[in-house]
Amino acid sequence: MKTLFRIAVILLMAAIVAGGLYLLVENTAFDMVSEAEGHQRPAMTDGTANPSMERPEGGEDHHSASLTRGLSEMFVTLGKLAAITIVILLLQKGFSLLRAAKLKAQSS
Amino acid sequence: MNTSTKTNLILDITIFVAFLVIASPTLTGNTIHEWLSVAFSAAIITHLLFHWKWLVSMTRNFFKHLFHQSRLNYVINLLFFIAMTAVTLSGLLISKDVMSFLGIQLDAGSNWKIIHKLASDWSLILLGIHFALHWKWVVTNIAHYIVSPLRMVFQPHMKPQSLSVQPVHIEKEK
Repeated sequence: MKTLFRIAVILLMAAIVAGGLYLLVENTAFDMVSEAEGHQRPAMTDGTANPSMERPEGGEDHHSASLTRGLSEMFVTLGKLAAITIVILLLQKGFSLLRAAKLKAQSS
Repeated sequence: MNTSTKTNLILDITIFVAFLVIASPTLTGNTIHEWLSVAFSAAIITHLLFHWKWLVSMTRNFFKHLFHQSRLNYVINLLFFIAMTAVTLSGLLISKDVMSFLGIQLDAGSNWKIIHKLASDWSLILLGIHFALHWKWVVTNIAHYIVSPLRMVFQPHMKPQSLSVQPVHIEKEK
């Protein structure tokens, strides 16, 4: 019973965040796609076509699996994660050394 | 929810591996990517349940101790939760398999694809920070629960490392 209540609280929090984000995105009159493309509409449209038309399959779409490309993508992600972790650990080490030096200076 | 460190570690490793697989949709294809993400959300909820006591005590004491180290951890975790919620929401809105399986037709704008990409990039960064902040816990427990038993398998003549206090016999000098 207690666990169910906790799950409900977590889901409620997620729903609040999701609802807020949805309202923010849907009520913001900002087209990120055209912004990202430098306000250039695709040349294949003649202005009469439906602007919210679906893109054709292919290109960036990951509908089909590829072991080689997928593994390389996974190792890139792992590399990024390792780099971020190392940077944070080095920062932590730097801060602790700085703090230790400060304490040493205060005591002497 | 009372859980052992071993259970926590197993769940965390599972979540980590799942994150890596989900972050590479080319590896699995879109259908597995979507369904694995749904299972991943359930694993995240379980992870939160395992750390419920910490969550509640930190939420209560957040403004009491201004320069407490756990505050940074709490803020990172909160941002990670928001990023993961954004990834899940945008993923469901642009979903091709999960929502159609549930019989739901959504007409999400193209902005949601960009939000999905942005939120997943931010989750990767926040996961890296989250991982670094728990580095000592991860290293200690991987050494204790994975490396040490593996060493025992390959070198059975070695005695297991014990952290318990051993009696020391000291002879008095005469």
